[in-house]
Amino acid sequence: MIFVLMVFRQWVGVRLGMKVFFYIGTRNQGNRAMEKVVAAVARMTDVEVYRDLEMLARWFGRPRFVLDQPIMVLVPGGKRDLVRIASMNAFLEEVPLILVLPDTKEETAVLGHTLRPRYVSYRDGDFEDVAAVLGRMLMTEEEAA
Amino acid sequence: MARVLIIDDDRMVCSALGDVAEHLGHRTFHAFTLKEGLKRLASESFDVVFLDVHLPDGDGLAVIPGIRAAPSSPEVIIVTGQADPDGAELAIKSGAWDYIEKPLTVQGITLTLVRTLQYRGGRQERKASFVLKREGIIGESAGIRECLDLLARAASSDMSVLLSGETGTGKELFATAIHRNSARSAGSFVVVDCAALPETLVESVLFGHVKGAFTGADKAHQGLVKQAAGGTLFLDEIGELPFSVQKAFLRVLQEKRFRPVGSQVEDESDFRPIAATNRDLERMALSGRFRKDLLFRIRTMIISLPPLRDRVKDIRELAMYYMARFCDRYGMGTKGFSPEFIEALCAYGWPGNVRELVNTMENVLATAGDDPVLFPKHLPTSVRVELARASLRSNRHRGKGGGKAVDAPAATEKYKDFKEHAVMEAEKRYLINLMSEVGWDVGEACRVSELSRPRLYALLKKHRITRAS
Repeated sequence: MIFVLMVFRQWVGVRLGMKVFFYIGTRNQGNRAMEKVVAAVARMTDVEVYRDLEMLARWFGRPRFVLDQPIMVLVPGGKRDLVRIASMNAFLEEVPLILVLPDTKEETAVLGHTLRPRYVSYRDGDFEDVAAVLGRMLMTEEEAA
Repeated sequence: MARVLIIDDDRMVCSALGDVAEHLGHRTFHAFTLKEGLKRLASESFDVVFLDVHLPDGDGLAVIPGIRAAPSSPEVIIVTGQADPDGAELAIKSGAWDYIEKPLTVQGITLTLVRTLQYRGGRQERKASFVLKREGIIGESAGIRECLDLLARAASSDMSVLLSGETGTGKELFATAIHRNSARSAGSFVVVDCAALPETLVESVLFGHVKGAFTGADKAHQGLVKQAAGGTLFLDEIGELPFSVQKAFLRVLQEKRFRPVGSQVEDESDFRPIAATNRDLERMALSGRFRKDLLFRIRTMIISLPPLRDRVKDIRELAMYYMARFCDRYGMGTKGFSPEFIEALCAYGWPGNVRELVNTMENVLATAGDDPVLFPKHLPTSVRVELARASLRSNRHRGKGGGKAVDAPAATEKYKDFKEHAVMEAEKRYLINLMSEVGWDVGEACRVSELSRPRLYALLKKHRITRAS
């Protein structure tokens, strides 16, 4: 699937305008599959990786220029982390989100959907689905820009 | 007792319509010209307007939106002596309730008037009994009021809804509002971004999968259809749903049952579908790119959201609402709007619709910082450049007596320059027409034009042609 991202980069032939922000909660740090996705995306567009929710909140706590609007990939470390992200809902309203849920429990999915993500995945996966969806979202945004 | 206004220059027709309406117990009023009728509508309240098409001072059909936008928002019944199917279509599309032809019959007038008033009565009852949470849907223009009316009807039922409109008109906002005002508001609002899903993933994302269903399926996962049980499933950009998946999805809509990928057992989910598109699904269905049966299933009710350029009246309120919201969100002091700033907002075309306006307001706030009053200089450069170009274009048109003079080659221009300019213009026009014809389906555009995908992207970039523009 990471191949999809690379092929897309060749189509366009230039570095993309849309940024991608990753928030990777503590318990997911060192996840090699996730890091592969981050590295592949970083080869085609600007990427910022946040390990600390406070830092992310600080970024969202100030008005943004249109060109700074990112696609956001949220990988909360656990349920508590997801609850904290859900409380930032107002700041995430206009941001296209991909959400990687920490578990497959029904209540976690219900909480996740309050963020209205464009795609939902699970931490136990290989993240290839995330790479494929992200590639398509970047392509759509590039077409619209 | 309803108040009925008859706008017709034929006194016999006025008298006949008035007699029937009064016989039914309603009060009638007459206007013999459009000007007179519109004047009454601005200052008095009416429930129904009988409107002639051919009036001495204008075309009745052209003023229907204006009549619907009057404070009392009356229902309009078109009366004409000429059998004109195109006129009938235009009347209905413009928001007329019905279209009746002369010679009029008592029965025909009675039936139409009774039905119209029943509909209006129902609409007002719904308004009275239903306090709509607007969820950030701002504006009082006729177009948006019509949409809110439909939103209220959709929220009080469980029917499937198709939201159509250009990119950025607020389809997801409307979908959320329908959900939050409905009996399913306690359930989840689940978004399916059909444009973002690769074909290989769609089925497992929608219906879920069992462990071992495919390589990498180490655990069973629930699909979005199941997660929407008791709530709403919002299918954004449904025109992008792969044809192969449309049949399976139709079955889910019909039977509320589905089979997760790799499973032998069916599961069920009771959800309410809301779909959205900026594509012409009717046309896609005719060309075999979208299943007709699925289209019929998802469009029990259609809400067509107007582009922002058709609701200029709402721009000021929208800008003020979002600016106040951003100031509140970021803990900044409130901002004043200079008249020039409002004027610039209203003059701009907003090809990206409300979304572009919202993004622009945030951009303006970032630029303005602590400045207490907003001026056009706070607007993004792209907006100011477009406004300047539009202003110059209109001055040149005024100065040279129309578009032909502007497009004509300058006598002093070199042939080579003229040719290059003409080719560029023709190429741009071709690309705009091409992308519009295929509804921005890049694959289809490549097929029709026989251009490669990279070449097409390069040309679009060269001419700065975007979906929004």
